[in-house]
Amino acid sequence: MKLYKNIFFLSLIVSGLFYIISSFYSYEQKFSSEIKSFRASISYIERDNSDLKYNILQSSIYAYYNQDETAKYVNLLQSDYDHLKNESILDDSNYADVKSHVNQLSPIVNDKINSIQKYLIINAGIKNSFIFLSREASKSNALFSSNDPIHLQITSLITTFSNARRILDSDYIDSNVNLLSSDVNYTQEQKEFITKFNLHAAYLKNNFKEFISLVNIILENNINTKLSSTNKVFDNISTHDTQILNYFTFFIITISSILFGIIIFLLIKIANENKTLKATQTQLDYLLTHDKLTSLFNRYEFEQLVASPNTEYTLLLINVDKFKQVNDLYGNSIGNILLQEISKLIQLEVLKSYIPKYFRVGGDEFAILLQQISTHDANIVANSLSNTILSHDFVVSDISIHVSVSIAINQEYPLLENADMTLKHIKKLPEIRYMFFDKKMNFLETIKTNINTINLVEDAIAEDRIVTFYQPILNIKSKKIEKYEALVRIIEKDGSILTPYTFLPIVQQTNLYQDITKIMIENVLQKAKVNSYRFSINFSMQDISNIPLMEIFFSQLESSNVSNLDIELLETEHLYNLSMVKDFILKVKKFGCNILIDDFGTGYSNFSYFSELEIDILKIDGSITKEINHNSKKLQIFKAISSFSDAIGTKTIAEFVENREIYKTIEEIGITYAQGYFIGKPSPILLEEDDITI
Amino acid sequence: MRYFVLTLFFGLTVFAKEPISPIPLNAPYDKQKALLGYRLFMDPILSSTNSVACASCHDIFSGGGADRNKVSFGVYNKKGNIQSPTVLNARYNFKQFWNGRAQDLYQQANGPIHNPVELNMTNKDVEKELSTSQLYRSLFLQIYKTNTIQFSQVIDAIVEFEKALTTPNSRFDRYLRGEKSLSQDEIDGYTLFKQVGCITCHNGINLGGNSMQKIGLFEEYKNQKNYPDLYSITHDPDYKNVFKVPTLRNISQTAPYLHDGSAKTLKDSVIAMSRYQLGSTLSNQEIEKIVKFLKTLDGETPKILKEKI
Repeated sequence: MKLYKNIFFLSLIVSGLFYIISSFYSYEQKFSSEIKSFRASISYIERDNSDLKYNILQSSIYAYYNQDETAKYVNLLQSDYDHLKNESILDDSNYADVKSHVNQLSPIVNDKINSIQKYLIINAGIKNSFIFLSREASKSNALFSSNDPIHLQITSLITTFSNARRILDSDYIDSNVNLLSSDVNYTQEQKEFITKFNLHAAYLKNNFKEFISLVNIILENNINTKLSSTNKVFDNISTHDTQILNYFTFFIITISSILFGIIIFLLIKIANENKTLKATQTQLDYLLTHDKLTSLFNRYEFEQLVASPNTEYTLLLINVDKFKQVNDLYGNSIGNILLQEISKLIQLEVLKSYIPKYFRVGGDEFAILLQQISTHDANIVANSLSNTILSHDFVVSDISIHVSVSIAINQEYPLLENADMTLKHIKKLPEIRYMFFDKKMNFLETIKTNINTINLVEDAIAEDRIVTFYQPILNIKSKKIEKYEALVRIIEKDGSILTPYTFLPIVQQTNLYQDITKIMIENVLQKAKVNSYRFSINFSMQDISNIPLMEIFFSQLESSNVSNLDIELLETEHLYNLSMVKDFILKVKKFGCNILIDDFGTGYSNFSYFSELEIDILKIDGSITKEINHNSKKLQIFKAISSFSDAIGTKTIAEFVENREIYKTIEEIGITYAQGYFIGKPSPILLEEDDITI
Repeated sequence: MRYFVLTLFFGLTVFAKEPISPIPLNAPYDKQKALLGYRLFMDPILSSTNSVACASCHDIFSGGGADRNKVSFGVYNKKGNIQSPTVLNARYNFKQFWNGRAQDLYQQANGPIHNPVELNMTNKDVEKELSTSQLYRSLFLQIYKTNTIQFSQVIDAIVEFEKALTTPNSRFDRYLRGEKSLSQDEIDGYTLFKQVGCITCHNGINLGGNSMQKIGLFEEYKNQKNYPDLYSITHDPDYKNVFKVPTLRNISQTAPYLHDGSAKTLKDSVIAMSRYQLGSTLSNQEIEKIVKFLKTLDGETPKILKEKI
């Protein structure tokens, strides 16, 4: 926040400075251009004036003269003076003195122009008189006799005029200059000559003084004098102004320097603040990536590091065995100290060549990432890690504690998950202290399949795709279908049929199992109600020990009022609660149910059941039946089971009767019932008698 | 002694370089504006009665840019107070009007438009009148990039037209440039023109138009009535009968002559001038030669007048 404030302050200063300098600059520009313009105006007038003088002098000398130039300079003098009067600097009250000087120049300029005007008029007359006299004088020789004194008079007059003109001095022509005197004896022609001559001589005599004085006025320096005094006043004021401007420039430079200093200071300050900020950020970064307790890297950093699998890492995941108990026993603070000690202990010297990185990834879990380590070396390292911890005597607050660790070694992605799985594996095996993750463990795969299967079953239940199939069981003696076994199936979305072997073992570990049982119970009871065949349903120990499920079963059994339901007991080796099974059988027998023992002849089949439980039918395992024609041992077992059941008075069912040969054999042996593809495949609808082709 | 006198007079009269300059060829002007000015110059729309145009008193086609009448007639046939000077080559005059009261052509053009006995219009009248014309609106838009016609633009266009009214290549100009010869009489006329003193006032490009002079230097010029001379502006008695020296360009076409139009022919005006301004009497032969010279001053018709508007 402070930083932004500074930046704001800084930009304020810079823009302020820029504003001052730029307005000062524009003022200075305006001022100096005004000064220049004023001086130029003055010098134009000076030029006009001197050009005019030159022109006037020339025109006074030459007999005839092109006056265009004179006219031009008169006009220029007038307009340049008007221009000077309108100079913008004169509006400045500081220049009032200059302005009054300029105004005083006005009558001088007007006088000058007026004088030139009058000069041009008189000059025309004087010129024409001279021209006339110069032309006429020569005529006198012819007109007058050579001894006529008029010649002397003419010569005297002309000498006077020409001297006066050459010297431009009016004193040469005074009132005493005598005109030609006429004589009564002169002829008319002579008299006219004298009249004309005198007309011009008189003009010269009368106007020459005026002419000279006008020339003198025109040649007078009054305009330039006034201009230079104006210039002087102007210079005084403008020098003063320039000086002020210079002071101001100095002031601006000083201020700029100070501001520049402040800016530098602020920049340094900002740089320092950036430094602090960077330090804070470094600290934050540290906190983000490190474990507070042990100062090792934390799980976040671990995940960051392995997120981009550019490097081939070997992970050693170390779990402190029974840490919870240590914590419970000694308290958290000691537990923490223990963890800190372990964090130091695991940083073995030998690991250094594998570019190790140490992490605390969980409460009691450490991870070491190693690079370029062989499987063999990894095992050795894990072993020495385990030994180091195991042999270390942790003395905390005078208590000596010994702990052991389990170490999972893994190079396969996902690193942590695979190692975790391996650790779980190790924990089940007390003698193992470290283990390399093996792809064949395939934990992941299993978990994935399990999850998929559970999802599949859930969906099937929700969408009513759990169906019951019925497989016929033939009475070999009567050659008649007497019973049906109810079998669970899932119809998949694409119409294919799943057998329970693919899903039931997984589902058994979940609550979905009892849902499936419920569906089966419902379906079979419905079927039994409307058919006279006997129907058998499979129950496991899990079903029987599920009291709420059994309550539902018995209430439905009672309300359906059927007596043609049989129970097949599954997984007989796991009938661990015999008394419960006994109670169940007693209860179910009241509803006319027969009890079948499924899959007899495999596993740890317990003959003691037969003494404890009221078994009605013995179902010989399909794996025996299937091979009676090829495997004599199996045939002997089959025969033994048959005789045994005969002996204890139970009926027998042979499963997996797949062909006529098997059927014939079991018929000979004297088995009560046959079940299998040879008799009929499981089907959602019951097979009719006609379908049996034996 | 006689020879002495003659030598003396050689010293008295110093001859300078040629006192007359030819009219420049291709004098610069803005043609588009000048053409608009041409139209305005010819158009009586600029008078309050829609009856009088600039051209009414400045006959640019056959009157040498001046008026054949002694004085001009404005709106309601009101009489002017002085002989209308020519508008041709006016750009080379140092001031405008007989008494030089206008510093330049812009000031001059303002005069007759507002004069109650000439065109009798105010600025607003002119702007309003022209704005009613679709043609003028589009012409001003095209040239001055404006939707509202301003009086200053009207003046500007007229002045630009007047700048185009120059008459170069007179026989005399071509003689000065060495392109053409003149007859002996004409050359003699020019020599006389200089020798007797006409050149004192009639010099420069326009043979005049570059100074104010008093009519009646050697003998008082008696006017029939009051004319607006320089005295009427300055009230300085020295300036009584002081007028701008008129140009002699195209002089053969601008009769009648003098400020009062009192000289009907060139001969009359040469006689009057030599009497009042030179104080001498010229012989018939001399006068004829000078008149012949004056006739060599007729220039070409201004090019712009050949344009169609």
